[in-house]
Order: sequence, then C-alpha cells, then structure tokens
Amino acid sequence: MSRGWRQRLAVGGLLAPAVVLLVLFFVLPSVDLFRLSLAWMDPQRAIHPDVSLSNYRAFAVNPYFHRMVWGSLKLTVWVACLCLLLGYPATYYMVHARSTMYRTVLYAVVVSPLLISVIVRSYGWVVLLANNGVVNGTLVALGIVHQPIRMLGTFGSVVVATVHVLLPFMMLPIASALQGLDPALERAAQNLGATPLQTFWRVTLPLSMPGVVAGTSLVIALTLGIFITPLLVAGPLQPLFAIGIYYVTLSELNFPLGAALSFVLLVFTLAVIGLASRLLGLIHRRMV
Amino acid sequence: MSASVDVDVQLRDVSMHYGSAPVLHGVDLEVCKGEFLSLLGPSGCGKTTTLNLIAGFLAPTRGTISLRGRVVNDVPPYRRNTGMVFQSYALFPHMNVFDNVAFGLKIRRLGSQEITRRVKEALSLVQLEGLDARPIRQLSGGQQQRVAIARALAIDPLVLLMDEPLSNLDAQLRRQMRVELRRLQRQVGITTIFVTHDQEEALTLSDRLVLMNGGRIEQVGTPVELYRKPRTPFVAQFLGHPNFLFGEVVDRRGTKMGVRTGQHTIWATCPDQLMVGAPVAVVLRAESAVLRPAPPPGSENAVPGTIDYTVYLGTSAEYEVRLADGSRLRVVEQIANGIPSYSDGEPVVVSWSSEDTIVLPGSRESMKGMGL
Repeated sequence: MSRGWRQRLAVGGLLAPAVVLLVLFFVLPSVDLFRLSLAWMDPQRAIHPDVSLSNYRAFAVNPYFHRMVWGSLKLTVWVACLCLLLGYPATYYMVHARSTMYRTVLYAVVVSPLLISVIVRSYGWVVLLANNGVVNGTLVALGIVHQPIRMLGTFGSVVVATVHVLLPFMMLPIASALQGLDPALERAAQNLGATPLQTFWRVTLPLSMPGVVAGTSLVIALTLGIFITPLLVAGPLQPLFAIGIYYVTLSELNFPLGAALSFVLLVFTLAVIGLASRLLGLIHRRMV
Repeated sequence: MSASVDVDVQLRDVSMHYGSAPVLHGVDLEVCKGEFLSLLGPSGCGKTTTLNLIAGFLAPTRGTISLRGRVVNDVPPYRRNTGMVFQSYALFPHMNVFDNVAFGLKIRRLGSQEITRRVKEALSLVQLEGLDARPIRQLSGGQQQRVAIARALAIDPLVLLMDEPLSNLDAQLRRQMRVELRRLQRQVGITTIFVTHDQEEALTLSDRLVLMNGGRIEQVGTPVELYRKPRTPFVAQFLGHPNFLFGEVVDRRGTKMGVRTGQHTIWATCPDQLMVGAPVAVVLRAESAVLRPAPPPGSENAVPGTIDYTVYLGTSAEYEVRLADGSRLRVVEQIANGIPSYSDGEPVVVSWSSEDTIVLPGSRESMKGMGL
C-alpha cells in the first residue's frame, strides 16, 4: 500500500465515528424534518404528505411570526453584545491572574454554571426577579421603591437570564485564545512604546479575535434557539422564535408547520452567524 | 568609573525579590556607550531578571536604575526607549514584516514617509531588503531573528537588550548570526546588553562580560581577563571547565609560590594575599599543559601519570591522565597529522609553566555543588 493511501485511510478512520454519528442523528432526522415541513395539515388535524410550500407561505404572511423573528433578533443582539462586553474583560482578568491557584478558582467559577441544569438556573432568576422575590424585597425594604417593580415577564428579564446562562460560552473560547498568546508579545509592544491601552488595541485584541468570533457565534446560535430560560422567566407569550415553534408544535400539534419554522430558524441562525462573523472580521481588519 | 556622560546604563545596588524569594542581591553595573556587554551565567542566576529590570518589566525591590544619567525606576517600560530582542522573538503574528518593524514608529506618530525610510533602513541593516510584505509565518527562524533585531533598532533605542536571542537557532546558523550580530553592533555603535548562558557566545561577542551566579555578580571584565584571571573558582569553572586540584600553600619564593596537592608540589606565579598554609584551588586549563614521555628539562611543573582514556576529536585529542596520587588531569593536545601521540595506558609526564597556573582561595568542600 502506498503512503498516500495509508494516509487517506487513517484520515477516513479518524473521521468515521463523527461522520456516522452526525449522519445518523443529525442529517437523517433533518431530512425527515424537512420532508415533514413540506406536508400539510387540514383543519381536522390530518397530515397529508404533500409536497407543498403552504407552511412556508404561512410563515411569510403571518405577522405573529414576524414579531417572533424580530424579538429573537433583538434578544440575540442584546445578549451577544452584553456577553462580549461583560465576558471579554472578565476573561482577560482571569487569564492574566498571577497565582495559578486563583486562576484555577476563577475558571471553576466560570464553568460551574454549566454543571447545573439550565432549568435550575432559570428558576433561580424567577426567585430573584419575582414581585415578591429577592430583588424587589430588598428594594422595598430599603425604601428605594414603594411597590415591587414588575421585572419577571419583561424583555429585560429574558436578556438578563439569557446572558447569565450563556456567558461561559463566550468566555471559554476567548480564554483559550488569550491563553495561546505568547506573553512576550505584550511586553514587546510596550517595549516599542505602546501604552497598556495601545498594546491591548493593537496586539492583544486583534490576536484574540478568533476567540471572540467563536464565542459570539456560539452565543448567537444558542440565543436564537433558547427556549427554557425565556419560557420560565417571561412565559409562553414572549415573541421568540423557539417559543413560537414550541407553541405551534406542542399546543396546536401542527407538526408540519413546526418543522417548517424549525428550518427557517436554522437558516436564519446560519445567516446571523455569517453576518456577525463578517462584521467582526471587518472590525478585525480595521484594527490591524 | 563615575556617572559620566559615557555611561548609558547604570545599576546601583539593585536587589530584587519575587515574593519572599530573592533573585538579585545588590548588583552594581555600568554599561558604557557603544559597549557590547554580556550577562553570562547558569539558569536562575538573575541575568534575565537584570535585563527585565532595565527594560522596566520588573521593578527593583531596592536600588536605582539609570539610563543616560536619568533614574528610571518610576518610568514605565513604554517610556524607557529600550529596544528588546526576545528569546521567542515575540514578532506580532498578525502583521507582516514591514508592520512589525514599523510598530514602534507608528506608535511614535512619525510621518508615513519617515516610517517607510526608517523601516527600509532597519531591514537593510539586517539584510532583509525586499521582504517587507512577507507574513511572519512564512519566515525562517533566522529571518524572524533578523526582523526582531530590525524592529528593536528601528526605534533608535538608548540601549539594545537581547535575551538569549540565538538560543532558538540551530548550531550552524547560531555561529553565523554571532558574527553578523557583532558586525551589526559595531556598525550601528549601539550600546548592547546581551543575556546568554553560552560561554562561547559571550566570549566571542562581548567587549566586557559579567558573570553572574545566584543573583550576584561574580566578576566583570573583558573575555581575556575573565578567562586568564578568574577571581573565583566559579568563574574559572564556568569558563572552560578547567582542571581543579586542591591543596595548601607550602612555600613562597619571590614571585612564585608552591602548593602541595596530594604527593605533588605545584608552582604558580604568586597571586596577592595568599599566606603559607592557606587552603587553595589550583586551576589548570586543559590546553595549557603538554604531555611528554619524560620530564622536559627546565620545566617548572612536571607530574608523572598514565593515560586513562583518550577522546579523539580529529584536530585534537583530549587525554584523561591519572596521577600517582589518584587525582586526574585533562590535557588537550593539538594534533597536526590526525594521529594521537599517546595511547591508553601509556606512562606520560604532564608539564606546564607557573604562569599558566591559576591559584584561588578555596577548598574542595567550599566548591561542592559547582559541578566539579
């Protein structure tokens, strides 16, 4: 056997498990889902396996779905920006911590939310933000407000809870990018006359952009699909894509429409990630 | 030396602690304008710490650091105007060659024509003309090294600081860069402090070298001074791994002194204040002694022994000679025809002159842990 062949065989062998898994549990179900999205449900809730675009047409003309897309997009922009603004400085601080012990503790703090079920974490926000919850209780007790402020069920509460749930997904890729940098690079910049701020803008930030792009893409994908957290803190009426799909599928039991909406969400997610990456890429090039 | 205008870098009684661990003890050092000074020593001796203190990346616990007569203890690294070449080169991977070299000039907000002119000038100094647009990833190790030097020189620094810059190159390239570095430094005339653990590098490059050990300066001098007249056994040992024999002073006659080691009395030219009875280390360089079948007439030191084994190196041979009292001496002999003059087990006489014998205060016990 020639070397080229052996190499190709090795590559194939290494890829095979992932490919098999992906085909069995993602590609095939997706194809099935897509076929379902082309079916049609009559008013008697009988599903006809036609090939029609009626479900996609329903999405295109129904203003409820448009509000849902707009709501999800707004949430995504807020969450991605807040995660980046909160996550980057915190990650920078964490990676640059002097003592190894302290750094390890900080990492544990960042990762720890991932070890707890998202339902528990979201309920935590319900406990905090409810009218008789911790935050309102404190505000009233301190006399800052006379009546509890309505926080639960607002768009703001969804933003706050979602940022909390998704922050680790922004921080971990940035941490790995920052950690990969030779510490001598920052010293070199300062040695050449760059102030700490100039060093950050010209060297550290541009070189950690791959981490920023990865983290932002993850957060966008997860925000567009997030479902349990907004459902718990804001209820089923919040105009969000994933909640809409949930409602259509499990309350109206309109599986074909739910499948169609899922496909629209998939394409929409890819489009938003593509757009965000382009934008960050442009900023990156401007920096360099 | 006083703080004259010719001193570019001055350290006065500088000490440094990392937490409670001391890494530098009361270092005094002056580097003159245009001088090539090496900081040499084993790892952990404080040489890189000294460099980082001068660059401003570390702050001394005690003492003052001055650049051109101005105390810079409180000046941050980005206002010190030192040019550093890092061991890893630390080139910015997201920029091409031009932008790396131009970095410090852009920070200084020079005009674009001025920047282009100075980048070209720096790149031609390191013989990298025409590679401006090349990404860093596509450069060889030697080219990256040159870009790092050009980048440091482009800002016209007060002093060039180099932290083991050649240690990442292969042996042949390292030798070549050594010669080039020296030529470049002379041409630019820039004051240079060069950190290395490689004695050969330090000896070939430096005007003066500073040998450090355990956070202290052992000795400062020209390469010849340090090699010929080491002041401590550590300096003698670090430069050239010579033979050590231990004994005590038994006789003094005019400018000569006799040292009793084992069964032999060795004659040396008299160093300063060593009294009869003082415990001393006798240092003999392997290349200072010669081997003869019989004691040569008029030789001051002639000690019989037998060849234990031979390391054949083509142009030279290194013999390990066992003396009658069991001690050993290494002797290097240059051989013109490629055939060693002696074979293992042969009886020989090791002889050398009193001028080539270095006597230092110290006993075998006091030199434990120095790898002798």
